[in-house]
Amino acid sequence: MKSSPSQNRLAQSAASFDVVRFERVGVRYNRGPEILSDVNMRLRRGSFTFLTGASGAGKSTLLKLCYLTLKHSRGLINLFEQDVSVMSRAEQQSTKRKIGVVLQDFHLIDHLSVFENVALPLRVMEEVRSEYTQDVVELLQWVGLGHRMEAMPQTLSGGEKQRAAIARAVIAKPDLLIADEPTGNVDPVIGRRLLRLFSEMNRMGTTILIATHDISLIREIQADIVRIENGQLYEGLKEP
Amino acid sequence: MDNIADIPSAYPLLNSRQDNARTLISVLVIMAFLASLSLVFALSAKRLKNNWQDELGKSATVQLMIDNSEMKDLKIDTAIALLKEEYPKASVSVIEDGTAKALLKPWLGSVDLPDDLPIPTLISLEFESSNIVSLDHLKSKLSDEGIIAEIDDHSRWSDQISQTGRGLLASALAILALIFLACAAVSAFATQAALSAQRDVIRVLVQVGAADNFITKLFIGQAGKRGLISGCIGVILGGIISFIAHLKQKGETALLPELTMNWTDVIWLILLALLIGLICAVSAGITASRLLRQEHRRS
Repeated sequence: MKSSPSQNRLAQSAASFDVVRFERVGVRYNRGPEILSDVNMRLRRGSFTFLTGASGAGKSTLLKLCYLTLKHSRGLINLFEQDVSVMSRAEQQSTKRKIGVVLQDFHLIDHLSVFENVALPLRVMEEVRSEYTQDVVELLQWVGLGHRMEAMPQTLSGGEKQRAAIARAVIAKPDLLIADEPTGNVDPVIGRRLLRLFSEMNRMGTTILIATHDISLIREIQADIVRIENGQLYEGLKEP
Repeated sequence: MDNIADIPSAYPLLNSRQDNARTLISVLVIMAFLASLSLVFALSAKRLKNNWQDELGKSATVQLMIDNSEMKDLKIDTAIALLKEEYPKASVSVIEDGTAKALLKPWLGSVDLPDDLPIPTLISLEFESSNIVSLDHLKSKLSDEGIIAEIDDHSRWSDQISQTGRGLLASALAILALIFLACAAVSAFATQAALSAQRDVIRVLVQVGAADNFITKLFIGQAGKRGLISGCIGVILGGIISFIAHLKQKGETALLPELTMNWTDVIWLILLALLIGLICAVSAGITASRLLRQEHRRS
């Protein structure tokens, strides 16, 4: 991906720092064909990027590479200026703590309440419960789950699960937020509210990468846009 | 929920309902129960060995070989006088003929023994404390007085008893060690199963950046808690059974070790429950750490 002008002032001021950098990255599962081929991408600190593409084009695969759940077959991936292929286990875990992830299937823990699920990254960082409780409550109220804090995930609707997953991804104020169809299951009002949350986080310096089909969402804010087609990455939306 | 104070305390991150916690706890309770019985038995065996040795060490028997029955009383008096002179604090008494004959019953049966059966005269020496005197010189001193005597200080019995006691103690400790090994193995197996059953939870934890140490600590905490609870239940049950056995057996057996209890045993039993918890925790920690490393190598 060639760098495009970002509207974000923080992105401009920190243009030299790449949060994510892909160089000729290829991914294949076992001995199958390459899902991604020669992908080049740079996400500068403070940038806001939408990733589009048809279903099965490889959006989720690219996101998995970014949040260290999948290993690439070839090429170079740098996260926070560190080559992921030589990262130790501890470095990987430390890097993951800088990344907030919202997945399509939410990955909420069934036996934990909404509050506990959202507070999970802070517990993992071994922060003091009394110090983060207020933050979690406020965030849950902000995403419209203030009345569902003690509910268990299996009692939530799809939209509520999605909001809980988003709240968990952002609670620890990550440096990089990766979201896979974050507004897919929510009504337009909540969708816009979540987008405002992402914009606000971006304004505070978080680099955002959102995979989505939702063109209206993309048009809501000015951001970089990249699309995946045939395993390759292109800049901008596809011309009609 | 408007008030932050209403937020409940943190839930355990590992779901205890997902693995067979009850089955595991039942097995650990049984092991703790058996371990507590072994421990009480080991402590009893040690006490019994010491008691036996103490009792034997506090007494000795002097056998007088008197051919001439007319001189018998004189020689007995002489021997008693010499023994009292040698050991002024000891209790010296002649064992009655009837009692001496009764000692032969284990060998000769309960038939009436003839009156003219030559039975040595036995003099019992009882000391205040054990193993404080040497009896080696006694035989020659009695000989100087014209008395042929054999001195039995029970040392050969004491050695055998000591050996038997050590054997009982070692057996009980070996059983205890085997139970500890079994506890460790059960905890390791349960951790392996839990890691598999809670793969989804672990995946989320890893995704939000949990370090291996953090996840390992969760399993250590869970296994330690289960081990401690099971240990306490098993040890309480074992303690109750041992105490009942103690009450029933007290003073009834002479040769076999009694399952007796002492108040210090309670401390040992508390330590045993803690040790079972510790063994489960350490075993779970090692297993979780090893499996997480393996998982990392595979991914």
